[in-house]
Amino acid sequence: MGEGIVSRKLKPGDVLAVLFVFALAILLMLFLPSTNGSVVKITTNDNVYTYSLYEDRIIELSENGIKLTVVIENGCVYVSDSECRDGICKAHGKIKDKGCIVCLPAGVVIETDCGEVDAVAG
Amino acid sequence: MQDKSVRTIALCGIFASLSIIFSTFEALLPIQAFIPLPGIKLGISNIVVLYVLFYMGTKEAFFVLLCRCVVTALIFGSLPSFLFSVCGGLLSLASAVIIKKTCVGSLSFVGVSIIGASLHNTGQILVSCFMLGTFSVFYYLPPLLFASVVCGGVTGTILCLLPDVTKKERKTEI
Amino acid sequence: MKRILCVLLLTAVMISSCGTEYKSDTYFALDTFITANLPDIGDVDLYGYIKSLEDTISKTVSKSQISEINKNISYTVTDDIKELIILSNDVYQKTNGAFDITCGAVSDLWDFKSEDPRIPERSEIEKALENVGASEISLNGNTLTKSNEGIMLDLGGIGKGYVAEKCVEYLHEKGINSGYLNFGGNIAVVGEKDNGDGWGVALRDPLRLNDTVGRIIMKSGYLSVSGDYERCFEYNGQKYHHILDPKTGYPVNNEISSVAVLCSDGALADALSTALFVMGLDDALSFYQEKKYTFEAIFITKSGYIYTTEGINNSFELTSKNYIMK
Repeated sequence: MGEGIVSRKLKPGDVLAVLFVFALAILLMLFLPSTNGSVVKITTNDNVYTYSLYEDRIIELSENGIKLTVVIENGCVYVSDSECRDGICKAHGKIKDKGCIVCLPAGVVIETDCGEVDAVAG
Repeated sequence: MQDKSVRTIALCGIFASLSIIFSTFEALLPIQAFIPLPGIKLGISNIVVLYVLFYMGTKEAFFVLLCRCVVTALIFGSLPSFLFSVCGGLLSLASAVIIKKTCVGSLSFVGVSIIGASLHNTGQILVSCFMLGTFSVFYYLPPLLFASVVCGGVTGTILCLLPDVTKKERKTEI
Repeated sequence: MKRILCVLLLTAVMISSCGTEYKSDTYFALDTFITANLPDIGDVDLYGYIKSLEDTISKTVSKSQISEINKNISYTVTDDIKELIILSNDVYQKTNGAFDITCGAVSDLWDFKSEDPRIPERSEIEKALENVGASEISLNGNTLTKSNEGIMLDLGGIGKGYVAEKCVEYLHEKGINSGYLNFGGNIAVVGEKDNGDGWGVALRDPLRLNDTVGRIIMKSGYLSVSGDYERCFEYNGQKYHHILDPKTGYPVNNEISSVAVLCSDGALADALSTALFVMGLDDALSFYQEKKYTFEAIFITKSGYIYTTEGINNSFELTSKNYIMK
C-alpha cells in the first residue's frame, strides 16, 4: 500500500509516547493557576455570578433545562443536587481554592477566584 | 479491481457498524460513576477506527469514524456531544494518520492508541472550553491524560493481538 | 500537535491581557501618600494641582486660606472654600454636630504626629472646647466671620475628600476618564477600566493592617474610610487615635473599628465617614435610614462583625475568615 503499518510488538517509541503524555499532564498541573480564592464565580450561558466564599449560601440554578443546587458552606463550594445525566458535577465534591466543577449538560462552571484587587482602601 | 472496491465497501460497512455497536456499548457503561471526569471513556470504538486505518486505508478510517460519530449522536446525543465526539475523534485520527505517514517504524499500536486517546480528550476539553467560555475546564485535562494513557494502552494492546482479516486469503493450489 | 496547542494557549492568554497601560505614581501631600493609577496623562501636572489645593486648605501651610481664617476674626474666601464651608455646615446640622470643622483648637492640643505625644490635661481640653462649634462661624457672601478669635478651623475630616473630588474634576477636564486615585486609603474613581469593568477595591482589616476584609467593585464615585488605626499613639497601654468627638474633645470610643462611606460626592463621603465614626453604629444606621444624604456605608466593628447598608446588597464580598457579615 505504500504506507506502513505500525508494529504489533512494543517499541521504544511507545515509551516515548507515554512519557510525552505524562509530561504534558504534569506541565499542565504545574502551570494551571491555583486561585487562592475568596470568591466563588459561577459562569452560566448568560451570566457570571460572584459570591463570597465565606458567606454560607444555597444557590439554585436552572440552565439548559437542568436544575442545579450549589452550596457554599464553611469556605467550600459544591454541587449538592443536579438533574444532569452524568452526575460528574455532584461527584466532584467540594472545592476550596483550586480547580473547578463543571456541569457540561447545564453549561455551568463553578470556580473559586480571588477577586482582583486594584486598590486597598482604609 | 472491481472485486477489491466491492470488498472494500462491504468491509467498511461492517467495521462502521462494529464501531457504532462498540460506541453504543460504551455509552451504556456508567464509567462516570467510578471516575468522575467529563469525557472519560474506554475508547473501544477507536480500536475499530485504528484497525481500519492501518489495515485498509486513511479514507476508509475517516469514513468509519464519521459514521460512528453521526449515528451515535443521532441515537444518544445532542449537538454538543456530537461536537465533542467529532473534534476529539478527528484530532485523534489525524495524529494516527501523521504517524502512519511518518514514523511508522518507531511505534506500535500501543503508542498510537495512547497518543490518539490523549488527543481525543484534549480535543474534547478544547471544545468544552469554547462552549463554556472559560479556560478553567483545563483543570480536568491532567487526570484525563493519565486516564488516556491507561485506556490507550489497553486498546493498543488489543490491537496488537488482532490479526489482519482484511486481506483476501490466497489459497495455494496444491 | 501538542506543541501547537501550547502555542495557541499562550497566544490566547497574551492577547487577553492587552489593553490600556495604566501607570501608577505616588506623591506625598496632605500629610499622606497619594497614589494615582491612570492611563498616560502626558504632561498634566496632577501633583502640582494637588499641592496648590493643599496650599489653600491646609492649616499647617501658613499662607493657606484656612490659616488666614484661623489668624483673623474674619476673612474673605474663594468660591471653592465657601462651598466647602457650606457643605460642612450642612453636615454639622444634619448629624447633630458629629462632624465639626471648628475643632481646630482641640485637635491642636493632641499632637498625633509628634515624636513625643502627650495627653492634654482635662482642663486644657475643656477650655479649648469653648472655641468649638460650627454654629459659631457665619458666612456672609464670601466672608467668613468667627464669633471669637479662638475658633480654629481644621478640615482634616473633609480635606482629602475635597481634594480628591477636585482632582477627578481636573482630570476629566483634561480628557482623562479612566483610572482611580488613592488618597491615603480614600479611593476616588476617575473612570472605569477601559474594558468597562470597575476597580476592585479591598477594605483594610483594622486589626490586621496587612490584610483585607472584603472587596467591592467601583466604577465611579468615592470611598472614604475613617478608622481608629490611621493616626494614633499608645500611652500607658491605651490607644489614642485622631478622630475626636467634637463634644468631648477626646478620641471617639465606640464599637466601630472603621467605617467606609460610598458616595458620589467626594467631600461628602469624607465628611460622612468622619461623622458616622463619631456617631457610633446604632446612631449611624438610624442616620442612614433618615435618608438626609444619598450614600452607602460599611461598618467594621471591634467585635468582628461587618454591617452594610441596604444599598450595598451583595456587592460587598467578604474575603476574610475573621469577620462575620451581619
